[in-house]
Amino acid sequence: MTAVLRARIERLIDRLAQGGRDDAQRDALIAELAEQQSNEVEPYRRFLANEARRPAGMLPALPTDVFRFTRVAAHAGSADLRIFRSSGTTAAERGTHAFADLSLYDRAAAAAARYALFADQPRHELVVLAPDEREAPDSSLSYMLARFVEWFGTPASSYVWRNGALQIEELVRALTRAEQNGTPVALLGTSFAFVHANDALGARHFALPAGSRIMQTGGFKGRSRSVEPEEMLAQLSARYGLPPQWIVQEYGMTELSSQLYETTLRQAALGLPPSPRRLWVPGWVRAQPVDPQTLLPVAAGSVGVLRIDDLANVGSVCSIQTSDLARSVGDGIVVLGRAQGALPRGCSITADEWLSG
Amino acid sequence: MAVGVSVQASDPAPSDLLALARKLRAGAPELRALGLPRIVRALCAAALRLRGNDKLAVATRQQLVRTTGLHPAMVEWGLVTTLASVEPEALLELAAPLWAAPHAAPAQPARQLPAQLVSVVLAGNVFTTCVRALFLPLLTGAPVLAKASTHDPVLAGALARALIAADHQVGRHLALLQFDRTHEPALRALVAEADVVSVYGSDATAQAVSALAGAARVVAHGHGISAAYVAGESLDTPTSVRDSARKLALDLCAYDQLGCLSPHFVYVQAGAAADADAFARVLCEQALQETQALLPRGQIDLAAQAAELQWRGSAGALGKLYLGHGRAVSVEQGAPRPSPGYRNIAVHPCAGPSELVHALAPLLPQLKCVGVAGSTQLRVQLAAATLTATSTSTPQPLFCRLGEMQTPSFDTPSDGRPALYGLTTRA
Repeated sequence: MTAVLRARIERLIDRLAQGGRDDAQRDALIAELAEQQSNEVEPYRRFLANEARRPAGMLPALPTDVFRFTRVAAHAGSADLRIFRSSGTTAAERGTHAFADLSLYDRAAAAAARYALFADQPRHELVVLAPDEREAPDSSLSYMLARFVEWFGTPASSYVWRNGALQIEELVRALTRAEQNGTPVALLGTSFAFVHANDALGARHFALPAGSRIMQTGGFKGRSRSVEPEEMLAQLSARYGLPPQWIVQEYGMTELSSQLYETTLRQAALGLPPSPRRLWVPGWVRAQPVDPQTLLPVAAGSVGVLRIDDLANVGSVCSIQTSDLARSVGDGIVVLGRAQGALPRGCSITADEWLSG
Repeated sequence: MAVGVSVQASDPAPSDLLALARKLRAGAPELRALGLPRIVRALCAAALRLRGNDKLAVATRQQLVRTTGLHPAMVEWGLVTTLASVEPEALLELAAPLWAAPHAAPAQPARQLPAQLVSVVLAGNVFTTCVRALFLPLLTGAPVLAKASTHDPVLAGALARALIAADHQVGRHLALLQFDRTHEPALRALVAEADVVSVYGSDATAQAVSALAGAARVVAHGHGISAAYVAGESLDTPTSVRDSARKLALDLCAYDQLGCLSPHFVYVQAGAAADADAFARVLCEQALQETQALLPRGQIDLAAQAAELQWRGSAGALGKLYLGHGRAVSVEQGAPRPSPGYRNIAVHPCAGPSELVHALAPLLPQLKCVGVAGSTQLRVQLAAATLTATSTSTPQPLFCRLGEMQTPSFDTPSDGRPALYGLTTRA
């Protein structure tokens, strides 16, 4: 990728960091970046050679599964600064995303979090229900949360997940302290960590001070029992004494460099009029549910398979085809997850069963 | 709830279910008193009826098209090929030794006795799985209490009705119910009186049922995968290449590649007149096209389309991809990947049988069947080599002829074990 193109992407992210939109400029940059990556990233070049479809003139998006089976990077392995791996229990299950430079990742992550999570004040006491990046150096989530502690945290911020387990007493201490001194806290962590916390806390409930918030992310994937999103929201609200709009989901994946957040927290924190809960798509990202047959975007409100074009993904491939089902809601996206099919699945082993070994 | 009229009762109360189980169990001596020939005649008559064109058979086909999403031609093929395997000689030969066993000398250490009750938990497998699942225990002389799949109860229900109609005295010893498998009190009642519990479905389902089964023997039929191998001797002329590809196409198209006997990938021996790439091209552009004309692909929902998009895209990034309408064949190196089904298969070049056995070794715990294009001697060699490569506790895959993976005979071993394995108790 040329330095000129990178500089234009950086300027766009900076310009749209406050929630602005310039879809024409975004789309032009996506087309330009994808074209360059189609020459620089070998698996993407091979993929395009085998994929004749060009939906509405766009290059097709590379499936996330490819990150499981081969290296997807524009740079040589010797230039790797950091390699993130997706969650999973076997090597085949874990996608890898190599970075030679994390500055654009940082720029996008900071801008999105500042807009969606911390719009009301610059610093918060963060309570992190996820491993520290030293414990999980290949986790993009741990990397991002470590940066959040640097960028948005107060000195009182803490990690309450260590050595692969929730430190329940430390969590209780942090929340009790917040209740007592009236300082809002931001609980950030994985969905399964919140399930563990919920199980461990038993009858203990909290009334966190106004301005406290929760960001949860990721699925459950064998790490805890699964909880439906609406049930999870209700549980968190009741457990920590927070209005539901102060609790949001983050949507991110190892194969991307940008994150999407639900809209309700920003609206509540800034006193903006409420609107339906959905994921806010940053201005440097294009998120479209597409028809898997034509690869074209589906009609607004219809369910399709989520394609994400992320301009911050400069070192690999910016156009990523997920396997998540999603639909557009207004200017945002609602992700329905990897929904079970409507038809009987047969007795053939599923990919998840196979890969989880 | 009386035995014999409980067919397809929905959402039974656990207490009713328990009473039904006890009644069925108490009726075991009556079933055995009917004798094996009469049971066989009833089973075969029921199967024959559903292969025909009377009202029940036609309605069953129509409902199966709706519940399975398969094309009507595929439903017809699956129904006919499976029910044709229910034929008197095979059933008698399979069960006769067992019926003779109770009269053997008491000193025999491993005398097999019929169970007093076999409970069967069916799953949303390929729709014909229920034929063997319901009929094999009856063949041993054991009454059957079965939970139908909530997704697809159609054929199980039709079998029960046809059996009642064929011979009420036999059919009354099969009771079929329908309830959600998460309904734990009902599931507990289903297995409470059983000597043997035969459970189909995922490992999670098997574990959940096992936890409730108490002292009953649990025979799990888990999900699995299958593979194929084309030896060089089956690739030496254009005709043999086409013939091997056609056989594989049938195994692949059957049940839209959603069965545990469906091949996910095929290893093609290198060094023959046609290499892996040439075989893949013939498979996609000729054999699959021809087979699909007879057995079109059925419905594919959005979740499956998303999985197919991932698989095909990865195939393109990793190797070469041949695409046709409703089918895809990739040529890949490296470790095999799971196919999403729906007629997507990877062709892997392979040096020969040794490399095949090596490649399959990590998959053996889930490998159900390997279809082989090659000689009988080769199949025997492959089975022996696989046996050597595994521990005794790992179920052995079946090595069968290519083109016959999806049409096993009624007495074909399952999961490396005899067809009637686990359905009896020991004296």
